[in-house]
Amino acid sequence: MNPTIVKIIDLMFRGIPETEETSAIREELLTNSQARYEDLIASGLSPDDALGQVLDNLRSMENVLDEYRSGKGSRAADQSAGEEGPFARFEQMAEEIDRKMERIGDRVEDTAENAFTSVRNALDNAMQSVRNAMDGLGGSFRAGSEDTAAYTGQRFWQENTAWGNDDENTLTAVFQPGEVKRVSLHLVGEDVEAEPSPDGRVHVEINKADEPMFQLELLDGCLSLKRVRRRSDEQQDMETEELEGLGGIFAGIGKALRGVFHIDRTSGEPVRLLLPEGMELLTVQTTSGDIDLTGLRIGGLTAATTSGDIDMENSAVTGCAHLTSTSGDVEVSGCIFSESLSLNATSGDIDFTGDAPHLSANNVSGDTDLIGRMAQVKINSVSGDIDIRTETALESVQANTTSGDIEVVVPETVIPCVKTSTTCGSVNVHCPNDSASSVVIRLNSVSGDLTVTNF
Amino acid sequence: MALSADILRGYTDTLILKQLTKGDHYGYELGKQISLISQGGLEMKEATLYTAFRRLEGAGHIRSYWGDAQAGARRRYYAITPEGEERLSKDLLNWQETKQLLTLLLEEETL
Repeated sequence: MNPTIVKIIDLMFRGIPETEETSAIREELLTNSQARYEDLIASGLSPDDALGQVLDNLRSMENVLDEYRSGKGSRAADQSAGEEGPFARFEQMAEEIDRKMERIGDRVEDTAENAFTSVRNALDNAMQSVRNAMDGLGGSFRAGSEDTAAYTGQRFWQENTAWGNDDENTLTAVFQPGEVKRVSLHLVGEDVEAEPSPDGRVHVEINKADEPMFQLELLDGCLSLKRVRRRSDEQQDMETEELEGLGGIFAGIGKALRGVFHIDRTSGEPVRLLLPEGMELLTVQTTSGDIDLTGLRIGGLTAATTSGDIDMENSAVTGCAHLTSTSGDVEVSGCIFSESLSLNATSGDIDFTGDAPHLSANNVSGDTDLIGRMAQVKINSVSGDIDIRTETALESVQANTTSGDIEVVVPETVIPCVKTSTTCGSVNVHCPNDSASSVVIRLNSVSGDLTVTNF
Repeated sequence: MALSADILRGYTDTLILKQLTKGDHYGYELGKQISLISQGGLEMKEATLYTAFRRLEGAGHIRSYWGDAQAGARRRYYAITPEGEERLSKDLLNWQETKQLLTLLLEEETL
């Protein structure tokens, strides 16, 4: 079942009391719409265009459904209802759906947050005993197997007192630039901050209290810092897996428990990285932490967080870069990318300023703003707005939304070939449009407005 | 086109009954068949089909039943009843008369 169709039909049925009759209508509409959608896709339509037609067809049902909404009971209209509503009604519907979607989004976030907070509070006591138990274990940094050349924490940190150990709360590991080519962090709830190294060496800093929970390894030039899974974690996993096995709401509880346990276990201090120029690759993964990258010069970059924000400033990446946050924002300012850059968010916003020859961005409900020198730009969004302001290097823009608006601003010197397609959005092209131009701007939406202007 | 749209609207139930003599169908499928046979000349909106189904079911001319669940939702199939067959044959006679009448009246006038 296409999730957007389900969402649209759910919206149509809001405020309608659930009876045997209304749920039968709902089910019938769902299966009819899904069949129509699949048929349209099979006939070669794009998913957005197909959704637009499905939506159009469903609109005729509004009058029928109003009968149930007003509490008049089970009488469907005798005349064939809503054969051809006035066009204004379509626009009204689209706006209404937009508004409803936003409201639903807010509500879902609220509910999730509340649930999360209460689970957290309920588990505070349990957490305290876990912490006590861990204190008992002492601060030995987990040793890796010999062939992976892992460092045991105590020994390692003590041998590296040359720099940065003046702060009694921080442990620092330092490596010569030749030793490390790639850095990879696999974390859970910790924030990450990466900055240029002042001395040409690689530094990794963590809070002293967090030491038992990390494992640091250097293998074939790859320095990796990981959260260590301890016995209590494993037990926790078994419990949560059992809960998940029960399915549905239990799986949700299992996931929440897992998240809470991991998050609460560290000091909350960020992991800091100081990197010299020319690292081949930096990989950062964290679940709920923020990722801050400032002033870096690196070969390739992958940064991903589930609920944290990603902030990248004044950096340059010579290879490919992927930045992904599920519910957080992705903000890139003043950065230069030489190859492909992909920016991904779901409910957060994407903000980009800088240079990127090949930029692709995907978002669902967050807004996407791109400003700078971009040659080829591809963007998809569902309900979020898309704003693009480009410079002369522009070669092509392809942007798609369902209900979000798209606005593209090109320099006056660029005369693009603008191609638009929308089901019920408005189209405003306020710049010269040359169908023979090699600069192609393609914009598609279902109900979003499409605008192209120049400056 | 306004006249033909009016005439067609008067035959919505008949058109649906006619399709159901060929076999049971669910809503979208039936609408699609009508569209195909009319070569795109008649597209029935969701609401048109829905209200016609309810009307016909209420009059006992069709009955509905649920198919197997597909990804959580079931299709509602419609079948013609003996009363529906009777109604259809009356409608078809009626149509023959109407057609003759209109042909006499309208085509005579233009000759």
